[in-house]
Amino acid sequence: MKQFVEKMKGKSAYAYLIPCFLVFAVFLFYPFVKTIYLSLYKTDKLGQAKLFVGLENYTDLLTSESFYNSLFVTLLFVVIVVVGSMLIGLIGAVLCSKAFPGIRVFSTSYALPMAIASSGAAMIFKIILNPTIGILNKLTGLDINWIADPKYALICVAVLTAWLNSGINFLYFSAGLGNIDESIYERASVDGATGIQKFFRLTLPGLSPIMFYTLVVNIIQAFQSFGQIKILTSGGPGESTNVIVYSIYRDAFFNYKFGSAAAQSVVLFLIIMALTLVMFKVEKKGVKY
Amino acid sequence: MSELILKNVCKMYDKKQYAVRDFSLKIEDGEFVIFVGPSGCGKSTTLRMIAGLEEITSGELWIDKQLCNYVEPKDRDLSMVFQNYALYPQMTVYDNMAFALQIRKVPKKEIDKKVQEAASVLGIRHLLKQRPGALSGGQKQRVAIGSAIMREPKAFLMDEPLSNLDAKLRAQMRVELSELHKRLSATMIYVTHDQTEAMTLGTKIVVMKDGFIQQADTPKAVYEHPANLFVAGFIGSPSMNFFEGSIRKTDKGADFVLESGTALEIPEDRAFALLNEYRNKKVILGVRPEHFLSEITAKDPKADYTKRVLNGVITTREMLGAESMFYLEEASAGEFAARLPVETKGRTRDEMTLFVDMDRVHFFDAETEHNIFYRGGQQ
Amino acid sequence: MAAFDHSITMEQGNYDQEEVAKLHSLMNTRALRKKRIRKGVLVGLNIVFALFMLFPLLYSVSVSVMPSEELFTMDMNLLPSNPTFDNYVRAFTQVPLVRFILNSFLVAGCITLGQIITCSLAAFAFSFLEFKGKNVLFMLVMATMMVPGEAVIISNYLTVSSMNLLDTYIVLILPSLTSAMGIFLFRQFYMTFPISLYESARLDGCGNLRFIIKILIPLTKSAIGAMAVYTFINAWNMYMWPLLVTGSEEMRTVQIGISMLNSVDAQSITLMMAGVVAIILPSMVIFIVGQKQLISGMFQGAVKG
Repeated sequence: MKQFVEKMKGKSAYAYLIPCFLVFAVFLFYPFVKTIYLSLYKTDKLGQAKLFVGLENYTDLLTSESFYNSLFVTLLFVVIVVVGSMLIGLIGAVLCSKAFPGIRVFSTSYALPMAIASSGAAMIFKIILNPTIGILNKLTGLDINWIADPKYALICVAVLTAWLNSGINFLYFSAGLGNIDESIYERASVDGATGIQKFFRLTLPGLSPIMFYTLVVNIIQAFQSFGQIKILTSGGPGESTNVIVYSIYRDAFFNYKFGSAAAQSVVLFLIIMALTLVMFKVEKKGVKY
Repeated sequence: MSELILKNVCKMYDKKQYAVRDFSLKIEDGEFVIFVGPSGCGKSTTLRMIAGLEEITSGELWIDKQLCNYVEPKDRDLSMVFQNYALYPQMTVYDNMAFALQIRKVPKKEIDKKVQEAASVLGIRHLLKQRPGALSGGQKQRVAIGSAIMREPKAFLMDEPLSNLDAKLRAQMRVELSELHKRLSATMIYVTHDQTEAMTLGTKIVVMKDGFIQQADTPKAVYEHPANLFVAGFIGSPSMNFFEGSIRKTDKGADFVLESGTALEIPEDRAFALLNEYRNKKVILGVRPEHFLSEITAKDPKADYTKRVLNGVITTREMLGAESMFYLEEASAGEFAARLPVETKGRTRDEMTLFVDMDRVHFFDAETEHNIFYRGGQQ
Repeated sequence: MAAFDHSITMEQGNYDQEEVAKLHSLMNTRALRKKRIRKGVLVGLNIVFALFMLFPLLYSVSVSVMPSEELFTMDMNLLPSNPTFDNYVRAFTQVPLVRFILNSFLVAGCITLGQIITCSLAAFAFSFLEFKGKNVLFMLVMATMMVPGEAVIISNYLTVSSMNLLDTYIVLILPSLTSAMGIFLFRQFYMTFPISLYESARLDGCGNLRFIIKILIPLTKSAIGAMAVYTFINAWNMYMWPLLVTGSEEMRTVQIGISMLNSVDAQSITLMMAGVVAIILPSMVIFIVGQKQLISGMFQGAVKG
């Protein structure tokens, strides 16, 4: 009996992991395996695997024009979102890097988008972008049907997403700027550097560690944008905003092609994992602290 | 040639708090000037005003006969070493050193030559490709100094550059800095709170307190002729012993009398002046620990030490090597320290008789705290 | 030799006190002006940028108090000329907004509480206890960050529907009860404490659970605060999962419920904006109130390089 108690003490560490691993197991590990499994099957309307087809779902994807389109759209979307949101966050952080009256109000407003739901934001943008009553056309004097025009639809959702994601970037960059030692700026001014030289040679490199972290988080986040696309464009017009995530949703819940949707999920996972790994490799070589 | 003149320079914060007041000093070409004082005395502020990192509230700063109050730091042609080294964390050691030249668009070849040269002088050639994060404190220090000597600025400013190093390294860097100064024969202005650094490095010491210059002179002069009680206590380690007492007239001349009644005979040359102005007034006597004599050392035939005796009870005794530090308790004056040859006998709680070398003591006005015999420095 | 701007300096040989005094006063006013201009430009730029950033929000508030006939003109209509709260009244009566909001509070609150508990337990084990496979398990947790939610959402949907859990609170809460991010954040925090803190508590006869409750939790208030704000906001803003698993109106969370208002029907646009503002407000208030907590907690441990 005593031995048993002793043994349990050694094992008790696992008890603290049970709650979280239970959730992970049921809602992450198991479904992840199941997704891979499903991607090898044709399914019925209820999502039950019916017929083993091997890699057919994947080969179907690789031969489908719609999938390549969706890849391309996703890539473009991610690039615009990541560049846009990081730029907005950086501008905000630089603007708030020196104390001035009212700085609290401004820094709060730059961080605020992180608290806003994608669905609510999408509905606001829907009104702003409305071709007849929308304020954007009125303010700019343009007459563009932003959402219904395949040329602009993707940019619109991307800008919206960039705005939503910029809040947390602002916080990251502000923290990064705060971590830069003030005295190196002093040394640089004695050394003879101008303001611009200081920004490009000290501030930007000083942000690089956090910049990298932010980049990874932003890319992963951008790949997973869904709500705003569903509400604003529903993947349209045509297929112009049909990013992978939306395509997964549509294939699974409208076309009941769970197998194909699962295959796309696996591809999405592989892309994100590959990107993350590559970035960490690059980081190890490039950015030093 | 470069010459710095500060004229009545003041620094005021928030329109009421003076950090530096009426700082006037002429720094000649090639001098190694030390600003020394306790923290908050305004020494760093003064240095930062010279660098242009702080505005000068009033007064004039002349660098090479140019009024520089309003010249941007980048145009003053100075170089500075910071207390925390302020190395650019994202650049290699090489780029750190080259930075000032790179932004001046100096040709790459020339930069390379200078970096290699400075790196070999400081023994950091093997570190050139590393980043500051990977360096030890001493190495960072060398890089910071290396970056500063890349150019030939009008003056080198150093803000407590050794304070983050351990004692051994500090002693070593002190020697190197001193050699560097000789080699470059450049003007250096150096801030420290450590009086040992000040004494060993400087050709001129500026002792500061509460924003005012207390004394500016050579290390020897500051040590031997402190202007006031503060300088006397601050410079020298262990610090000078102070005894409160009064001046009493005797048949031959004058005595310094402690509260306990112990009388110390004052040499003739000083007795007259003291009697004149300070008879029966409060005076503070300052005696450096090395100016006590034991029975062994007090054998100078010329002096008569019988009337210059101070008794005390030994509280602690410390071995320094060739010498011993004795900490003694006097009936009224409290604890004082004496530095005596190691052969001196005496154990804790023993009574001990010491002789005071009265030719080398200092007298301070108890009210103004000025050295009564101070005749002004060479400013 | 540096090039001097000769208007602001002078030669020592030929100057007099008066000239210096003149230069002083000239330069002081110039410096003061420069400072003011700099500050003015900074504040100005901030105002422009903040207006740009807040424009969608400000505009939505403006539309939400606009009578709908005012919105439907071709004229410029940034601000309502006859502001009205009618839209809010109608939004709350036409749609069960209150129910949605309560649902969301319940779900987000449970998720927040649950994550704090599961994550702090796991982080405790990962930072203070020694056990077999510790590193492998931790790597496994970190790896889950790379799995996009969408990659598992279908299977999860199939799982819960086969368990007949669709359209319940449980299904909304359960999958989000833990997060790799939270475990990572807490662990970063716990790692800053010396192991001797734990060892001395053990020597004093303090059990593991008691150590967590009495010592760790009070010491990590800021991390917990940050975690709570972050988790709550994210849970409040969940979209895809509630969209899939809720069917009936009573179970909808705000984000799904509000999209019910999403129609092109002319009359309902202002009403929809009122609804949107009403559901954005809680997360915004929580963010503004908890902002300081969030920042100090998130950046103390998580993002130090």
